[in-house]
Amino acid sequence: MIMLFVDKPNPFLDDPDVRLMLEVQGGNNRSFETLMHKYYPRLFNFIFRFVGRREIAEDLTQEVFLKVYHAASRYRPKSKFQTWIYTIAKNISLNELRHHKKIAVSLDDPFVSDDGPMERQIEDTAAPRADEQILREEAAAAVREAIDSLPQNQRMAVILRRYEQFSYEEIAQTMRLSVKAVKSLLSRAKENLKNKLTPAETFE
Amino acid sequence: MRCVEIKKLIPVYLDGESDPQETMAVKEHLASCAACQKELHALERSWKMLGEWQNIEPSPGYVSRFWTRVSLQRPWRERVARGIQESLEGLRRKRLAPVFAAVCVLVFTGIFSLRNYWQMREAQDLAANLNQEELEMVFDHPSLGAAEDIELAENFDIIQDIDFFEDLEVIENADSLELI
Repeated sequence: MIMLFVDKPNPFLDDPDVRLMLEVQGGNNRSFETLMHKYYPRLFNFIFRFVGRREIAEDLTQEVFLKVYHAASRYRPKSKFQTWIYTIAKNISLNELRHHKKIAVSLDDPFVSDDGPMERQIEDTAAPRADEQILREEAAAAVREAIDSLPQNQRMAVILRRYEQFSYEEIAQTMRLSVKAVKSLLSRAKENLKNKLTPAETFE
Repeated sequence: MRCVEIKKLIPVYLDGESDPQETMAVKEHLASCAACQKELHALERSWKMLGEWQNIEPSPGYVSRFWTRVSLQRPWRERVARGIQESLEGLRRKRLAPVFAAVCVLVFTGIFSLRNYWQMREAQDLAANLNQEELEMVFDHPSLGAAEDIELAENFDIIQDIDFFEDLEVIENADSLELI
């Protein structure tokens, strides 16, 4: 039987980031920097929320891009670029937690940019009320602690949904789960978060 | 549906990811159940509260830090390439044409072996750097049959031991060298 080899169009070529990565494969480092500018802050925050330490998150984010860069020569798009790079970030983060059993979440780590105290959005341009700021910082600390207390899979699903705005399908692809499993994971996670963050409203 | 079952569906319903039947069931139940409405509001509030943990900026200069790390990696390749270059320069200056011809044969064998060795090593590095899940997402043939290159890699070891890049006496006796 004669096999006719017909080039099926690769559906992932519609992804502009896949096309950028193919340009990197062609030797275009500028395209790689474009990808870095787009994904670095996102991945940094994703990893930071998952592992809980800023310095570690900085290192691990660099590792993600090193892996991507060194894989460029043999890159063949078989998924959305976002799915691939977040999968790498997920695995690097999981490995880190595996090797350093429990990374103590330092509540002294800043929630904010390196520039110092958070520049919150305030309606009036006069100095913000101190008690409101304190309340918000306490809320942020409570959130950090609540997310950190979640089992790893639930924590990752929450971060991807709430902070990275992934769809359930995207979470499923990144975490290598079925959508049904993601639904179950997020249901349990949200229940846990509700119990931790709004205990007065919890009832059976 | 009873409250116990509806409560389990509310988290996904709030994300707009329920299937149509579940969505309808939850909506219908919520219309007349104050308890489940309270549950929904509690879930909404805690989920919204997660927004208090805002994004932070990575340390500036992450792009230049990255390129610095890239340039510090794999120095051995550049060392070998430079060694070959300098040796060939030396041979040309001393007009050792017949010896140069013999060296060419050795060099091409070496380069061929090196190329295969690098490919094997790169494949191993890639396999080490990317796990199976990540490899499957981008490569057609994640395992590159590195075993096929073992013979060539063994040749490379012999050539490397000779260190002929710097030893002219060895090069002059090239034909008496044992090569597989």
